[in-house]
Amino acid sequence: MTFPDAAMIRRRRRRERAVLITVLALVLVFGFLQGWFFHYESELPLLGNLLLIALVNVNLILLLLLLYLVLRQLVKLVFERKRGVLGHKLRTRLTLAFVALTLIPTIPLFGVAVQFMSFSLDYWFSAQVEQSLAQSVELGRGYLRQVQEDLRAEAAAAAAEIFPDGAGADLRIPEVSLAPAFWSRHHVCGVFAADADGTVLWSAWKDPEWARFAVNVARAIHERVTHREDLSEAFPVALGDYGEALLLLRSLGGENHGRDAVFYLGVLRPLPSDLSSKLSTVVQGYQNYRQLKLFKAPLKTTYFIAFSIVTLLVAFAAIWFGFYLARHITGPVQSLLTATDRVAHGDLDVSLHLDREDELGLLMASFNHMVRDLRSGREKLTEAYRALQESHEELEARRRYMEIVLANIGAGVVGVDADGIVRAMNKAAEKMSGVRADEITGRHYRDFLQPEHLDVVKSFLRLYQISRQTYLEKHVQVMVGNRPLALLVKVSVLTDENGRHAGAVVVLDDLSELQRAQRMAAWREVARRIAHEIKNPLTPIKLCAQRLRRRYTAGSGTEGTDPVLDECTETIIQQVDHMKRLVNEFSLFARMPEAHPQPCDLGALAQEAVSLYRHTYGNIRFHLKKSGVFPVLHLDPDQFRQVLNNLLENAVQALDGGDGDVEIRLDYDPILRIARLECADTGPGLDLEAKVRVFEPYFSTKEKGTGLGLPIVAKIVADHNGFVRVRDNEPRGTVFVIELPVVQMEGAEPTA
Amino acid sequence: MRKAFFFAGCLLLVLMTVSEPAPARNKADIADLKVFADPPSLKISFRIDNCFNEEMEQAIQSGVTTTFRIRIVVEKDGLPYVRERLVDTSVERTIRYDTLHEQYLVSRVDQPASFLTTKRFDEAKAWMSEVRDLPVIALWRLAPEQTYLVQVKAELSKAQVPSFLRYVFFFVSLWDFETPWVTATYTP
Repeated sequence: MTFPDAAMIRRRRRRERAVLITVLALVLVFGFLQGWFFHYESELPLLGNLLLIALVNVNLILLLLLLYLVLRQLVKLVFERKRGVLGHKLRTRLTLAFVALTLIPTIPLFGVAVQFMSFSLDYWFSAQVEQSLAQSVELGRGYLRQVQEDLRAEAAAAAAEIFPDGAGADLRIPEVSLAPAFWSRHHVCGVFAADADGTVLWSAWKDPEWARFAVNVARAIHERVTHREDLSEAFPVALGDYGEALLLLRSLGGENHGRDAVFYLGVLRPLPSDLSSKLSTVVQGYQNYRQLKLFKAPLKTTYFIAFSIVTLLVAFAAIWFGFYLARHITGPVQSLLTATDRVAHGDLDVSLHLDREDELGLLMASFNHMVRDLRSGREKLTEAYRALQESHEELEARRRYMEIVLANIGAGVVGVDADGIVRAMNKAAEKMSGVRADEITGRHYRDFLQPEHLDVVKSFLRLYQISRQTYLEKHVQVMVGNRPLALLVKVSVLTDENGRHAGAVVVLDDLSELQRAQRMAAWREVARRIAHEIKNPLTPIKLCAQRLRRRYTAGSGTEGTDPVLDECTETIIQQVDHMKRLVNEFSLFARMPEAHPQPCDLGALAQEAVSLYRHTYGNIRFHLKKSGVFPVLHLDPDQFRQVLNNLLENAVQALDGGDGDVEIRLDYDPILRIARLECADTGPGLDLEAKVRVFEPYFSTKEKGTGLGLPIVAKIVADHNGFVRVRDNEPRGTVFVIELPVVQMEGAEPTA
Repeated sequence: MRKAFFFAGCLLLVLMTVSEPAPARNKADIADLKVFADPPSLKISFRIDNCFNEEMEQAIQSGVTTTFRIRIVVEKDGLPYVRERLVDTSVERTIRYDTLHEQYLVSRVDQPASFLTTKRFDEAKAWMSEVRDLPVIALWRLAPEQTYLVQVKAELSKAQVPSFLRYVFFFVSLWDFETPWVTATYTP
């Protein structure tokens, strides 16, 4: 969505408004000028016509421009609607409402006005009005005819008085003016005598002042006579300030002279000025009426055009005003919508231009204030988020550090919540328990612990219930899988800041190797002391027994030898030898020589040992299995020959003289780089205690066993950084497993 | 805004094209044009036919003062537009009906008796439409053996209607007329 520049839109609207108002004003001014020129067109014949044409055209152009501007707004509205510009619906409704409000009264008013004008014109030009006006004119005419008749009588009387002898070719013109009594007898103001050509020969005026109209009268008489018009009719003569007068010519020479009269007598009577004026008004009115009637149809058309133009002007102005008002109302709404949309899209830099002080202006100011507050809030929020993120990163680093610590410490750590659900477990704990953390995390400890292990947990729970101490510690011996473990279990009960129980952390320390080493050291010390303390008296005891035997055997002769003595001394000597051998073994165990590792083929050593035992014990089946690739190891061959002998001896003794199978397996794990030697027998197997103590010195399940064979094995393997353990054989018997690290040596390639 | 002015310009052009003078409704014509020497002047006589129609007669009888203008041009014969113009004049004749006295008043400035009255409309129309022996140029101004063109044209000069009806006449041309130019030659 694009957001047009609000300032540019405002400037453009202001310019449009100015143009529209100017055009409207121009239309009015030019319309007025046009009307003015119509009134004075006759006074400005050429220029007036040109100006009129120009004005009419300019007015038409301006009207069309107005139409264009209004239609343009309409088209813009349609396009806004098509484009889906925000606020177009409200603007369309408002515009339509304003236009409807304008057109609904204007159009009927226009129709009524046109109809009313048509009716009025028809009424004005009705026969009744015309008849009244015509009769008024006729009244005037009647009056004039009456005046004419009077004049005719006056002319006859005046002719008889002035020319008492009658008219003839020798008519003599009176040489003196008429007596005042004449003017009082005759209601005329002038008398004229003219010849047959219309030339005035004599004239007499009632008022000498009027003599100045003599020329007018003479010309009128001349024209009248010259054109040989009907002289029996009186005709009007203009008398300047005195208005109009009627002049009647009477031919002199008798009735039979007619138009061929030799002389004419004219009498002049002025019409009363007020009457003349009134008659003129009546006639003018009648004439105007008839002219209007003549132009009734075009007049109607003209009025229709005038009404249409005014109506259009009103409609255009109203429509534009409707647009203006709609925009005035919807403009801020549109701005608000646009701004809200921008705010909704996350742009809080928006600010509305405040150019009004009404309620909408207040709303826009409130909006600006709200956006400012939002912006400020967002900045604070961003700041808080940044701080939170830093804190989170720090916590995460700490957590990771703790995880690394937990993962790398030798002790196993298990976290359990108040409900007994396992929440955490480190790698050492995984290694000790043989289960993966992701398998048990989130599960209750009862769901996966074996009954034997569960007993340990219960013992701790009982201890906690009794002691209510938050730290508990206990040594336990457990079997994990088929591996015995001696563990120091430390339990720390967790409480939160409110003192509520929050679970426990269990720390498991594997003490198996430590215990074994401690036992081994203790037994070595014991062996050394026993060897030292017992070995010394054995030689004198044996020598004494031998001396006793020799003395008493030599002194008494062969037949005199005491069999008891002989037997006892023999037994003493044998037991002393046995004890000496025993002490030697003790001494050997106590002073195990230091290993001298060298490249050694353990397979060959195994083969050699198996071959020896296969010949010795025919009833036992000895097997040697070797994986495809087995490396040359860095071992002390003499000590490992001892190891193999001890393991095979132990296996043979486990079979206890019976037949069975003894198998030596040599295997190599290239991934872990571990060489594995397993010695499996099919004997009765070992119980749990025996499995735990089998590598302890002097622990033997056999009556005559020294209990040193397997400890020596464990010692030699430990000296070679290896590991020995015992597990059950399938389906029966025992397997001793020795795992030795393979050290890469130069030139020491694995052998097939 | 430029579009608005362009639009207005186009409109003006259209209006100029369509706003020609309205064609005359009367097919008036000059008839019987005669050019003759009547020393000391060259005179012409002619008649204007069909210069009155019914509406015009009604208007005149309603009191509308009506004036004919007769244009007379005398040129030496030659190429058009470059002919030497000796005379370019016009005479006017006006008719008015006096409703009160029921008579027509005709003013002819070209005639000795310039102001005529009659009660007969036909006579008044004849006075308006007939031109007799109207001197146009002094004969001494005409060179011998030179052909001259005498052109005559008549038109309605104005109809003096009341001021409130003038705008109607501006838009509605009821009865104005204009004859074509009629030419006669004269060679002394």
